[in-house]
Amino acid sequence: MAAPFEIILDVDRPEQELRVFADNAFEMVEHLEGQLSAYIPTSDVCWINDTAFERPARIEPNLFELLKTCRRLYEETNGAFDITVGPLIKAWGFFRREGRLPEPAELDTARARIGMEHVRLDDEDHSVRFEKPGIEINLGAVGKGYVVDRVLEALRRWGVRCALVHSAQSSIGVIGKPPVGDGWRLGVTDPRNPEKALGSVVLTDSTMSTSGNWEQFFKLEGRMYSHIIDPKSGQPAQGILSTTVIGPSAAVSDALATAFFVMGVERARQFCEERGDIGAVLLAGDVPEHREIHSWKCILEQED
Amino acid sequence: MDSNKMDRRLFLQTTAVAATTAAITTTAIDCGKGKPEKPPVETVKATPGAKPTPSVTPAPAATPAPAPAATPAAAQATPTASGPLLPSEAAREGPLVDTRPFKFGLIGCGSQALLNLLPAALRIAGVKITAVCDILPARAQAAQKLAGGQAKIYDDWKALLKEADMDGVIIATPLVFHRPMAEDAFKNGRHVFCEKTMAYSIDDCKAMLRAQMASGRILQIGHHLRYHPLYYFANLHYIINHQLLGKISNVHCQWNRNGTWRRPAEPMAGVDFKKWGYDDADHVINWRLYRKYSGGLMTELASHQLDVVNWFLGDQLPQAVVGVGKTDNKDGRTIFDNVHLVYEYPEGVVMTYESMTTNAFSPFGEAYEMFQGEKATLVMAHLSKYVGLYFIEPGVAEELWMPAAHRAPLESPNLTQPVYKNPIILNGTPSPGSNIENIANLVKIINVVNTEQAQTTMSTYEIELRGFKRAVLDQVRPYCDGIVGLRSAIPALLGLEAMEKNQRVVMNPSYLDLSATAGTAATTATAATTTSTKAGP
Repeated sequence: MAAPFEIILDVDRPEQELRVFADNAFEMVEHLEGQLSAYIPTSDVCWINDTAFERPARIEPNLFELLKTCRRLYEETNGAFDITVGPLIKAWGFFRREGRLPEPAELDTARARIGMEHVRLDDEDHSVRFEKPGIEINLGAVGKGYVVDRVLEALRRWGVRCALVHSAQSSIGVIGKPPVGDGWRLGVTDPRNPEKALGSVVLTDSTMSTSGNWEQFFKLEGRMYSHIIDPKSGQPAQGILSTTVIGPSAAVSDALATAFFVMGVERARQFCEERGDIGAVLLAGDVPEHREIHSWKCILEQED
Repeated sequence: MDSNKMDRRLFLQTTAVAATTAAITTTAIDCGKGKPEKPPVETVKATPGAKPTPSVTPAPAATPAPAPAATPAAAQATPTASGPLLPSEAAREGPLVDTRPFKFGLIGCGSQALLNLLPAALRIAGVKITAVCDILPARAQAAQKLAGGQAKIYDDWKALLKEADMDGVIIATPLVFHRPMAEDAFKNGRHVFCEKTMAYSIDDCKAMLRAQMASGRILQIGHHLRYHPLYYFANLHYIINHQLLGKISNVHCQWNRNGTWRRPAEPMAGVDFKKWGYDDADHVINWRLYRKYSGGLMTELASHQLDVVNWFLGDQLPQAVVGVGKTDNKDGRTIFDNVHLVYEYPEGVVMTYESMTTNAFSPFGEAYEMFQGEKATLVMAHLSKYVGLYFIEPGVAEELWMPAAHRAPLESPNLTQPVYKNPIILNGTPSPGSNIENIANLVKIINVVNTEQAQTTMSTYEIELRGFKRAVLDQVRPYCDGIVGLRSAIPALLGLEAMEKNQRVVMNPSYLDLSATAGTAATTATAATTTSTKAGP
């Protein structure tokens, strides 16, 4: 993840106690990064990728539940969210964070190696097995949110009633209300101008995740390419500049923020209408000069 | 005879004798602290596996050890499943895919077990967790869930040791309980993997060793850095085989954090913590902060690094130590959370050690061990992205030793995956004071490129537990056995004594004599130990 993580707590108890919460929460974040990162060779994710084709990999229950959530979201989004998309991301050069145009043959090879249907999850011994060689998982689109969820859960267990935690501002979770106001007022970023918000939403006991900023695009031969790849077409997603998703779990909102990028306005709207607990704000437009804001199931307060 | 020149051979000799005659004798054998000088022939014959210390030569062998029939002691120590352990072979790690079934029991379901040991154990083929024990029901349930829901839950460790269906038990409890639990485990014929530090006092360590020898069972101590591939590589290849550092004159270790080192309170309703040897509910969770149960930073963090220093200096022990300890977090804790020590090792090597909880500044990540030799400096930092770095001294011709650094280590039949090849060497000049991410591109970095996937994804916890599984199933001596455990506990416990008494503490040969009980603070088992022994039914 390699993302900054921040915890904001109300000083409703001695500072020493809050420091203990923060210490333990950050230790947890570090541990989870060591478990989930595709860049740390001893992580569970790397270990799964290396061994799960040869034999079932038994993993700890929370990670197993996360993989089940990922599979459920894969099905609910018709494959727009897919944690096995890694080979495609690598073909486009995004794993090393340098974009390039892949050859069609490369894309075909990569596309043959993806698909969550090739990942078998066994509830019996919470193991994961790849049914095809070359499959790999990458939790980059859901990991930040998952860590936020785990930290929220720990803080609640410790009795915290007021907190905001976020990972790189792209996945945010809140407990209760801030000391002043009806809820946590969070800005929805304008990808063209990160200093200025598109508007704001007010949250209590909820999470919000955002996808899409200029750093996640690369320019080649005059065209902008998103870093988010459509697993079905193998091409970078187009038509959406940013997505913001609100939902009860940060892992889910994080995953859907990526999925909606791929799904586009209509499918995202339909998804939100079918699912009572998901709201979203999408900024659509192929170029920043022509853009439209769509929002469902959440109130986007705009300043002007 | 200089006590500091005694090496593992002494103990292994003792082990063999004790295992066969039940008489504990210590014959001091000066083997020149394990440098490649030739040890006495008799010793080699008497204890074939002890011949080279692991730091000197790659330990022998996944291949069968030479038949040890040469001496009466060894001849009687037949390696049968129930017979005494023959110290003929050091099991560093088991084979990569060893599907033989192995059942673990676990005492102590704290964060070390839940976050590190159990997940690592579950990666090992054939391993099942069949029994878990904790006095906090929620912890035991979490461990059970992690283990796949089949483990039997105990709150009484004595019951687990008595009845559980297991091939070996993991002890991951507060330091002060290691000795009574291990002793009881051996009494019940169990093989023991005990977390580091080995025990609360030197006497406790020795008692554990005596119990292990009498039982003929396996004892392994959880100094997991002994199992770190890059640590193993750096020591074997850079220090021993190619002597790239030249003569080492100084060592500095640091483990600095900025935090309370305290855990949040947990529900304790219905838990009779007094029955289990705790004075207070907070002590159950935060035992690391109270001297009654722990040595604080020295036994919970420093001992990892002190183990590495002993090891990298040729399996030596310090001759003396002075130190200053203080407590920065004023929250009722009774351990030092800010420690500074100076250790004198043989041959004029001085090691400075610092660990604190109120400032995390470090050029090499949270924790590091720095070995300064006349030709170069080697920094090992297992928590950082770059585990090992070396800095060549000005005026030392790189080409003289760069080819050596590129060479693969000597083929070691013990390592089932000899993949420590092709270290990445980047060129440049270190810039002082910058952090590791910045200097990474400027200095020489030991890193491992390897194509053997399993090796890259294996945590040290997994390697050490695989090693334990193999030691038990094949009846071979673990790479980090009780002898190493005692020797690594000594600098931690002597350092504590030096700070607590505020005086220079000198290494005494009797600390290595299993038959002797000495009267210093570090060697005296405490009241707490006695209490814990009494605790429980």
